[in-house]
Amino acid sequence: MRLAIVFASVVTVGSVAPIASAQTVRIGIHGVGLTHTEIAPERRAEGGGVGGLVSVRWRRLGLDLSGHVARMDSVDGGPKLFDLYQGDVRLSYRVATGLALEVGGGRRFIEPDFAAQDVGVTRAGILSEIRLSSLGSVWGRGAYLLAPKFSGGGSAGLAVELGFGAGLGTRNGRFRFRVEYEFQRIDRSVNDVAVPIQTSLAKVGADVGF
Amino acid sequence: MALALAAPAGALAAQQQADVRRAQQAYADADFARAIASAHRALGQPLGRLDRVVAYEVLGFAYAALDSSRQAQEAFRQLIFLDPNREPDVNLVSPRITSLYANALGQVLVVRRATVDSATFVAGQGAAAVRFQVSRSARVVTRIVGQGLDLPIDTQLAVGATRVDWDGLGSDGAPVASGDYQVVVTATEGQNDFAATVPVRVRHGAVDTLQHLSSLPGYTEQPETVRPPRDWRPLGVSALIAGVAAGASFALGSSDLSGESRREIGGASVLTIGVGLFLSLRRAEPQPVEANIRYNQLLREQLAQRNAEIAGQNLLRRRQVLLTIVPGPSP
Repeated sequence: MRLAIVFASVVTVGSVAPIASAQTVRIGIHGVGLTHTEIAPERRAEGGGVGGLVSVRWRRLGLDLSGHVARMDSVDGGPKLFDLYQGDVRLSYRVATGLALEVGGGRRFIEPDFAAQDVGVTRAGILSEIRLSSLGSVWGRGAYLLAPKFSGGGSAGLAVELGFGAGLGTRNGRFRFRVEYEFQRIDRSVNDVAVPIQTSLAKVGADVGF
Repeated sequence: MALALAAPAGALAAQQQADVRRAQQAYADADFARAIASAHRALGQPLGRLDRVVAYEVLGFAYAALDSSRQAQEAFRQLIFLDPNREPDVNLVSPRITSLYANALGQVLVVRRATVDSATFVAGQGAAAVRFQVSRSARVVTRIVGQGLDLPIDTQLAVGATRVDWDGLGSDGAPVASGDYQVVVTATEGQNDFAATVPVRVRHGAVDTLQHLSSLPGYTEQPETVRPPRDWRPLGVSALIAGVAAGASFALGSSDLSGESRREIGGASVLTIGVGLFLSLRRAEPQPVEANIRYNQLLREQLAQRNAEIAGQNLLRRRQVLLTIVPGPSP
């Protein structure tokens, strides 16, 4: 059900994007490698999966919708096998060449419940993209996560995410190879007990532009 | 019968020539009276032109040697009429004789040393020079005669060395037909006149056409694109981004969750730097050089303009006639 929600949102936005007179629309898929750590180093899970991306650029505005699903396994006696579903929305506004303000949200579901925390976040940050040539670019982003919500309750003090990536494509922009990394740290606490959550996500994929 | 008539005629000619030779010999022997007598005797008979010339010359020299200036000048005048181009050699003849000859020349109206320079030119665009000397101031008319043509090409008052140019055109403005002609120079002074003729031969030829140009001499086209030098900026920028982000993620990593796996950031960093390395090592596409493109465009325009001019000139040249004028055979 949750997987269906994630991909339904991606596909829906991807299908209506060209109608919205988008200057550029990109749709892609990627493989993900993910490390999820919660509460203590021993509760670390690693896994992999697949995901998708829809990206729209129109004038100074940009909209990125991405999602992935990963099957996680415990490392060092951590939590048992669980599935992770995540969807993210990022809306950007380019304020200068190579620099954009970015807001959005994200939702992460865990199945079975309570194998790890479901997390919902609202993000505000910046995105910087630098063109290396007519074929490729690199980008970096950083965001503060506002008032994250957890399925197990609690609150977060520091909650940040940062990432970087690179794209390499054809001259006409039709096809692009893409690699991306995202790091997320949430200092969750419940009843003044620290139960932090930290994830590292790597994506490698390709997308096609319209 | 023919042999009987021929034998006395041949004997007569030999007798005439003998008188001329005797006069020459007598002059050489400084027997000027006998030289004069022999010359008069020879001139009293029908001589050939060359013998008459020699006889008058010996007569003039001998009279001059005897200080008979009037008779000497009269002999020289006859000599000048017969052969205007003949004159004493100043290296062999006494200055007294040459001065008497010069005086005689000033007393008669003749056209001397008439020549036509050999020339090759496009009809109407060049000229052949006709040169002559007029002994006294006179009205001189120069004409081209032959092939049914009698064309005055110049009229002037002249004395001394004179030059007249002929452009090779007939009275209708077209090049004269090829063939043999005579340049007739007629000097007129009062009742006196004298005409000298110079045979010329006119040949027609085609005017060479110009070859079209494939490039402008002295100018070469410049490369319109240049390949930029290798650029290491993509590698530097991608390494910087990956390094800063990786360092920041390490720094931001929770101390409570130490021992985090680095496989994601390691892999992403390597691939990101790989993208930068690929873009740096990749040979850049040639970039257009606007200045060179404009330069080449101007060159091509100039070349096209020049070839258009050449085409126009060739069209004209194909209608033109190349005249070659050389001295013709003596009549």
